[in-house]
Amino acid sequence: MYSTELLIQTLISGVMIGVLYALMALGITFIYSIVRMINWAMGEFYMLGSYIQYVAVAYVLGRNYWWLAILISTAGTFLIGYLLEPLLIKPMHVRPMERRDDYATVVTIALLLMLRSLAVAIGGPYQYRPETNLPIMWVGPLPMEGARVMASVFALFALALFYVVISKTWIGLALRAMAQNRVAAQTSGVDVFRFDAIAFAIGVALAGLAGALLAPLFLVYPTNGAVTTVKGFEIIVIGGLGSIPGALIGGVLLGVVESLGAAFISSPYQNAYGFALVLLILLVRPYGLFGERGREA
Amino acid sequence: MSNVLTTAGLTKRYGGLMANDGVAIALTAGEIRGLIGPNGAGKTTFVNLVTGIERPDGGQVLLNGSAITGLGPHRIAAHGLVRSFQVARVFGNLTVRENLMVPYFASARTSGTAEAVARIGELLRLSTLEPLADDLAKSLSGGQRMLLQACAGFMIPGVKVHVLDEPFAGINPVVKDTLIELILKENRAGATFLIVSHEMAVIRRICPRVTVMIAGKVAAEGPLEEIARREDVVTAYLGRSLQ
Repeated sequence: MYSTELLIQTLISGVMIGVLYALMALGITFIYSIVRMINWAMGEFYMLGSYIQYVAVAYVLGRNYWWLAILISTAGTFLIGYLLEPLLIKPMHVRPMERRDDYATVVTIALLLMLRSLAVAIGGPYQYRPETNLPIMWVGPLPMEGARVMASVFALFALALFYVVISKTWIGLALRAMAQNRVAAQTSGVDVFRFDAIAFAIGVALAGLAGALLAPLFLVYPTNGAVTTVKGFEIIVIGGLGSIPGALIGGVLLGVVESLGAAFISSPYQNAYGFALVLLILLVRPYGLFGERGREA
Repeated sequence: MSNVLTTAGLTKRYGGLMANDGVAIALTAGEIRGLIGPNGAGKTTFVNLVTGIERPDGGQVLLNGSAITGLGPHRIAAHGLVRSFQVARVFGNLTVRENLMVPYFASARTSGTAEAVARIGELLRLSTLEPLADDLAKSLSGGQRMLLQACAGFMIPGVKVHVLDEPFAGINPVVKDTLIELILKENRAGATFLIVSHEMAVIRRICPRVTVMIAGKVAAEGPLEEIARREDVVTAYLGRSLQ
């Protein structure tokens, strides 16, 4: 049953969920570019963000201040990332400096297990849902949950903020320099170890933000980050590892393809359309839409 | 003491090979010292040890009297010593101008923007890179990259010693002259240089004194003309088979 209205509605909802996926992918790609490792615990930082959101709304702030809780969740995951990186990741990187050790990646897998177990130990295997005071909103002709609309708005705002920090501030300049040549950045006086921690913190804060934003819709429980992490990595394959535009465009593309498939083909297979897209990209451009063929080290 | 950079007993071992074997060198403030030696003599290892890229197995590096041995490169840069690499390391996806901003802001961190802009303008003009200021650095030629790398070193506020590893290798004569002019100008402004090079003509032109390294050790030190007459140096360069 085709109608232009349905098509437009589907595209809108696809883009809206896509920007949230993009947050995850951006976090993964950003940490990879700077710290030179894949952070497999991204989903657990998503989970942390959602738990902080729940605790803040349910016990401290109340549902009217859900937006303040979002900021606290994001800042909280940033802080946790900033403290964990020097503690767990940095010691895994041994000299010479340009060789980023694979142990660091393995440590993030350990971190994943630890954080999940911690969530079970503290919150139990239950599902929670942080409330909001948002009413149903109309996006064009389409009625949508307010939390979903605001999640997309916050995500867009975060992406814009990320862009400004990276392209307009000296911190962003130092991070871009580090992504291109770590040793040259260091001999230029950039304190690369501090920036590793900053980059890691920014990356996981993006995941924490996604977790907090999606908590009212996808709920809060110990393994809630798993699905979004998979989406994040799908986007990395689509957009290309280490590419920021790839993460953004890949995220939106994935959201749109999934929504279109669910609306026009069959909705139970929603996740499968994303995988089909991944397979297609792997066949045509194995290094992703914006990836470069030969990566250094 | 007017020695700005001193090393004592600097040692680095790679398995059984003594890459640096008790290297001692002392640079006087404001001099341009040449560091020469046959391939494999340990010159680049020495530069790596002094600038914190590698950690020495033994010995000491003093910059203005304070020990910088084993510190990371960014800490050493903050102490006032920077280096350039044999293969110019520039940030390819940043513009030429941004390449010059990175070292300035990494060290200054303040909003000394007017000062930075003036300095960048001056260096762009002197290095003849001005027309390329807003191009990405990856579009530069090898020689232009060398110029840019040197200028990036000159951007760090408060740097007293510049260590340049083979800055003249494989660049065309015009760019070479520009680079020499830049070095001489910074030197007149008070900077000290240690230049590793195989280009004897350039060394003769700008370095009143040279240090010769052979097989991981300092073999000789003095004016190039004097050094060139020493038999052990000549032998190391030309090989015994010629005699």
